[in-house]
Amino acid sequence: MSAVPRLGPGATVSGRAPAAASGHPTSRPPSPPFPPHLRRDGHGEDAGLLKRCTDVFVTVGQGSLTVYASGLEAPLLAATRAYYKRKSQDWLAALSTPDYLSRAERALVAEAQRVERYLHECTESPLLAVVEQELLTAHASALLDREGSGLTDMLKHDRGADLARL
Amino acid sequence: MNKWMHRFFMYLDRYHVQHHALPKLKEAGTAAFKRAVFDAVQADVTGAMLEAVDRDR
Repeated sequence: MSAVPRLGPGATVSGRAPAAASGHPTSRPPSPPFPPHLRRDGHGEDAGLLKRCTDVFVTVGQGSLTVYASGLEAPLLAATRAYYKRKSQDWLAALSTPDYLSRAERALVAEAQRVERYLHECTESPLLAVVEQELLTAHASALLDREGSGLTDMLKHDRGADLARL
Repeated sequence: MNKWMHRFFMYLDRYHVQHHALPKLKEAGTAAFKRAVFDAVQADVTGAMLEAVDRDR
């Protein structure tokens, strides 16, 4: 067991020495694959840039939001509907009802934050309505009637937190 | 740009435009920007923004 860690550094040193001797030009470590503003960790997108784009839609409307509504909000709502329609199918197949509901709850919070970060505040209620419709209303009976994790099961096992989510 | 033009034509905006009930310089500038720039790139911008939102999800 202890022989393995002792071998590790030894091997690295002996492995590095010939590489340096052969005169490899790579003196710097390789740069990370993505610049930080392109990361996909949920907050990696450039919110400031998106916010400025949104503001252009609002400004160009000269006091009315029609340009924003037709040029940005409507396509966004359509894309959101398609996205959560797909997600809800995935989640229905993979998750129990309580897990599904907590995912749906998180999705609603995330979308509300998205509006706050880089959209116009008038988008919040239509966007959340779309998410609710696709994640909850469309599958309400399927979620509640489910064997093993549906409503009857929740009541039977007194799952207060999960019931509160409903 | 709109702001510089506004300063430059302030006098005209205040008297000539008022007098003839023409659109205000600021509005005219924004409308010109919309016609010349915004309408040309809007579809691409919307597409790119939706892609960014998709990556963000």
